[in-house]
Amino acid sequence: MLRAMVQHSASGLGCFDADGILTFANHLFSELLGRGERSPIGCHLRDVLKDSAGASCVALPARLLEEIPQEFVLESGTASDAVRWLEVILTPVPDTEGRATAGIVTLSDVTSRQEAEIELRLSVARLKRATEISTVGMVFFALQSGELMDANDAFLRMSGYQVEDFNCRVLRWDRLIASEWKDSWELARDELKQVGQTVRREFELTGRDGRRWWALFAATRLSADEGVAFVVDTTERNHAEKMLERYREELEECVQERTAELDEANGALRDEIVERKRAEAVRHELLRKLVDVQENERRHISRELHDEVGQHLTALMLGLKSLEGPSNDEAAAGTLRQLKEITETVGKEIHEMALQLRPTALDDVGLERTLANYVEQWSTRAGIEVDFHSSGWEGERLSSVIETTLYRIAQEALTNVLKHAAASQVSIILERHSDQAVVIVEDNGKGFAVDCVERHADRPPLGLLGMRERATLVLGELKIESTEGEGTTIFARVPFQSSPTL
Amino acid sequence: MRKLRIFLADDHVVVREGLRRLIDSEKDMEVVGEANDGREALSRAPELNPDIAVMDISMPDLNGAQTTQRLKRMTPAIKVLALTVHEDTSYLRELLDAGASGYVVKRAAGDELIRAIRAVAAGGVYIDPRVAGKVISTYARIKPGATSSIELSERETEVLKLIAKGHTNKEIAGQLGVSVKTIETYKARSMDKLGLRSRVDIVRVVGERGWLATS
Repeated sequence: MLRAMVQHSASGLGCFDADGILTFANHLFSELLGRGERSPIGCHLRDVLKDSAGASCVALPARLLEEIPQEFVLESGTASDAVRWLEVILTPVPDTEGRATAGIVTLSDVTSRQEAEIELRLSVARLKRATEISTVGMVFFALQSGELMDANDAFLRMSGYQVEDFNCRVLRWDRLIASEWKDSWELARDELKQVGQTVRREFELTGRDGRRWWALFAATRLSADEGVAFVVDTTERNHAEKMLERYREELEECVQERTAELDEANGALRDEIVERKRAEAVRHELLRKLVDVQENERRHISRELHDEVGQHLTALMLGLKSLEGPSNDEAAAGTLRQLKEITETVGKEIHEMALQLRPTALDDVGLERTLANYVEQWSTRAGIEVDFHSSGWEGERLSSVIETTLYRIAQEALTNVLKHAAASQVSIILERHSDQAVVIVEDNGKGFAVDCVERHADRPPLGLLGMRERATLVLGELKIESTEGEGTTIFARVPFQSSPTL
Repeated sequence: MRKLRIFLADDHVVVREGLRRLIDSEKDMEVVGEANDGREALSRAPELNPDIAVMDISMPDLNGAQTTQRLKRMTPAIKVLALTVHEDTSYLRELLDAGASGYVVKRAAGDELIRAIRAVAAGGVYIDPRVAGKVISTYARIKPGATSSIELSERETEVLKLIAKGHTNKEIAGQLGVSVKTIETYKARSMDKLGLRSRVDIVRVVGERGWLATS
């Protein structure tokens, strides 16, 4: 019965004598050691308890029975090559006199337990490696008290504390964290308790020597009252950032200074431009006044020539006429005829002069008919054929200034044709559109290089300049197109508001 | 014999006196009234009911054309003979539009005026030959548009249209995306085809063909 029990035990069992020679082994004993049918009985324990490599892994004491009980774990190879971990327990068996003369060896298969332990050891090693990372400080701490329990080398290096300081269990977060950052720590702790981890925070810590350093801090709760904090020293980075910030500020200052200078320069330039514009405006105003005064003067003289001189000549003529009679002798009649001829000639010249100065019709009947008449007379005088075309007027008038401007431009253009163009044919178009009036004077004469004459001549011809000025004074424009050998076209356009005569 | 009744409106007393002497010296004419300006003429002439009002066109306040127009409206039977120092044609049209039947240059006052009074009294229209010559040459210029059968290319038509609208060659070149030289060529070629001699001819042809209305 006992034999059967031993034989079928869940452990391998064996007995050995004082010399370590196995005197008994059950079936499992052989099997666990991978001996198959080879019975270990009669073999020394040393030769039986061998590891998978075949080496005797345990140094069995020389006086075996006096130094047992012994326990150890043996890695044993089996027939199937699977590694098997055996827990070996050597126990002395005392005889009736209490002296140990024999021993029992039990073998238990602890392979699964052993593997878990190896895994654990690996994990520990990994954790250790992790904590040895030089750039990230790790601190284990008690959640409630804030007491620091352990830290890795990196943290020690950062904080300047020693392992011993931790062992004394006197370090607490509130001692490490700079006073003005205490709130930040408390927030982190609350977070830890509630959420289990903190967001990243940055605050200043005080080192062992009182030196302050910047820490980027994040923590995770490990258990109800334990947490681990990961800390990165950001002092250098912050310093760099501060430097960067300072450089940026300096740069900004420079830029602002420069901008201010530029603004000043711009302002000066603007003033200059304003000044120039003002000067230009003043010049324009003067020119406008000059033109006005000139026109008014001409208008006045022209009127006077017509109304005073012309009327008196008429009266004179009528007087001379009344002297005619049958009583006059031939000599008197001749003198009278001569006087009438002189009066007529003077009258005609007075009229021509007035017309040249400023046709009163320009005020009285308007641009269209006045220009048509002028063109007609010019054509006769110059012996150049003129085609005159007007449209859009229908008796409508424009302001006196605009009408005068267009009249003068046309007049000047015709003067130029006569002086320079050697043309045989001239077109004049006078159109009134809804918002601008246009006069175009085109000849078929010899033309000229507009660019050269306008831009490169030391003094552009006064005629062209005058026309342009005139147009500009009433916000109009003047364009000249000319092809050498094919003639010249002058375009004058003057905008107007569709209110009637001013 | 009934004399021609003449009314004088002129703001120059010396001229008025001269005219009165001149007219009164004619056996078949008499001056029945005078006015120093347009308003006076309007207030006096209708009741005097002259055959002819000799009217200076450049009177102050109400000028000759305005006075003529009103007078003709009030008493259409009174014929108006415009008398002026202005020999240019500018005023002529205005006076004729206003209802004047004659236009005489003052400088010629004398035989010319008497001739004019007689002509107008006889129901004619009298225009001083010094002015009439100018008028005729203006109207003689109008040419018939005998060009309608000739066809232009689309581009040529386009260029002519834009020229007629008053654009410069440069502007047209910009609009059509071609060079100024090209526009000049189009212009010359189409003028050649249509027998046009001037820009005014272009404007007229484009107007006659109704091209501006369709664009």
